[in-house]
Amino acid sequence: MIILAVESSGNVASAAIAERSKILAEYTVNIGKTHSQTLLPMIDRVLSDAEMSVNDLDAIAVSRGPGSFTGLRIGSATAKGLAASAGIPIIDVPTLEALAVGVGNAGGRLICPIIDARRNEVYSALFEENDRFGSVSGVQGSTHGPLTRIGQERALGMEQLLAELTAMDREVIFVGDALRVHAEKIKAAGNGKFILAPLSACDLRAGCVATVGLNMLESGKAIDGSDHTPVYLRLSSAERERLEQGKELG
Amino acid sequence: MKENEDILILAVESSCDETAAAVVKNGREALSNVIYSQIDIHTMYGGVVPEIASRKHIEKIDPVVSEALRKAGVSKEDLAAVAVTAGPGLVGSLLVGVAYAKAYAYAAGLPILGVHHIEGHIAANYIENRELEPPFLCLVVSGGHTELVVVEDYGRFRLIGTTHDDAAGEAFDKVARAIGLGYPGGPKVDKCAKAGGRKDAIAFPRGHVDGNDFDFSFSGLKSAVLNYLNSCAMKQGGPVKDLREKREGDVNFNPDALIDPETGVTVSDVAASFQEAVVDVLVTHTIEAAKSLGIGKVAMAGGVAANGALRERMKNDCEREGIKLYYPSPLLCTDNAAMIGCAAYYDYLAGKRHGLDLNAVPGLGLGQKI
Repeated sequence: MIILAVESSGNVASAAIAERSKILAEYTVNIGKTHSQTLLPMIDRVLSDAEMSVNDLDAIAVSRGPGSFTGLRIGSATAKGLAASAGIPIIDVPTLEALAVGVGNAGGRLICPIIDARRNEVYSALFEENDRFGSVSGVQGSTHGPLTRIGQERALGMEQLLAELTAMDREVIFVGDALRVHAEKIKAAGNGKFILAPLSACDLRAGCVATVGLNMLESGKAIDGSDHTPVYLRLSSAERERLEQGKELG
Repeated sequence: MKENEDILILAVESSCDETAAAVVKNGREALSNVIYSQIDIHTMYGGVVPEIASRKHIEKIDPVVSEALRKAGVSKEDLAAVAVTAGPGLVGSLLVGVAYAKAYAYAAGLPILGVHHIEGHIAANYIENRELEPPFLCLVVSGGHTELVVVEDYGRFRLIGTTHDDAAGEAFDKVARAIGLGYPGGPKVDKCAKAGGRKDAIAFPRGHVDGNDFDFSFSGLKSAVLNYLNSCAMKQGGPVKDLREKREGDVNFNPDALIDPETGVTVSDVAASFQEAVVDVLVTHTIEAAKSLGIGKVAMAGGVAANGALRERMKNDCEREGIKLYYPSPLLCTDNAAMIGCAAYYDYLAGKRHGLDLNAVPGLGLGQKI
């Protein structure tokens, strides 16, 4: 099984070609150009470095959100166009899970990915390893058992998230681009139990999207491209205002 | 090499609130023209909401494209190229079409062509008028554009007149809102005016721009309409907004209830007189430009070109002046992908191709190249 993985949910644009035991090629940029300019040339580059074409792929994994609305749509539209043209399915990978996988072995701690959602909020969810022995170890040939998500994906204030986690009284590893904004707050709230992942793991790369994507593909979770849409976790501001006025969205 | 010599282009358009795809044969024949309109959603908000439009595009792009291929009875192997609107338009909306079309073309091994949305509107005239060829003069009128363009050749345009403030369609939307008709303004004003409105009831001003006889201005006209409405309302005991809110409370607000007690002017008169002022300026400028440049062929393009009053008046005046007039059927006046495939055909023949880094250009001006 060979897949292309695409990540464009934040500032980073990344593309990777991967199979079960290894990443064949990966390309990541964070240079301030729009994903619209960088993503498809990068996909072309990883395919040609891996000496492949789109027709050699079994599926396309796309980071499905939450994240930047426009960034997600560029990734989704690109994946949909490739999938429709090549007649292959899409795997819509939860962005927060891909970030959590990037932490590596969590040693029994909870993993809490946090993505900057602006407006003083983060997109977040909690993950736990299924099996403490190498489930996300990244060792070649090991079974990367998927992480289990505890509770829902949410957009919420950092203070609320920290209060909830403090009440759980568990050790937690934080990862994601919002660490750059909230590191001090997390350290202060954790009382030694909150750990920060290295910054190198905080910007999501397509290789991590591929890892989750291959798990999903093998467990039959690939879907038709037309059934894929990004997961925003938020309504548009026009819709929010309409609800606040007590009107229906129609 | 393709076995037949026909050049088939798959075109995608998502610049505003319509998700559209078409297959166009040899630049003149639309084998399919699929449009998913989001108008019902945006009507609830009184205008296009960019984020909602973008979200709808990503939901609809796959089914719209596959429907276009199915209706045309072609598969990707039959195609010569993929074309997509690159601008101008709403950036979030444009990006969905651009990213999708580029990826589709790349995976199919086909060239990609970014198309200018307004060049597409102009090219819509070629689909139903096979004999039409440049040079001709084109009046482009839509919610975002009011332009007089000399189409010198395929892909060669000279802008000779443009609006200094509102686009004609924008003026329709604003006046429609003020007289309680709602969105979209163009068709609603047209319908209201037809319902017994007298186009000579009120003498609204004709906008003129000093220094260029072919330029347009609609903000003065819009203000004149608002001032007129307010003066009527004051005579009835309050500003227009208050009257409307009062009436919304008891029954569904009936705009016709707003009558000038002294002159007996009704809202349908306002709609008809306003529309007449817009149409008068558009037609007069177009005819004068055609005469002064010695061009015997005039075309219209864009959503407002579907307006009944504009079509009728332009037809009369062109006939009187011996000018041959072309305009697309109403469906091809609104945003669609067939017009994009048509415009792309001539770029394709000229050898134009874009790279995988083709981007959306929301503020693309007419005559500017992608």
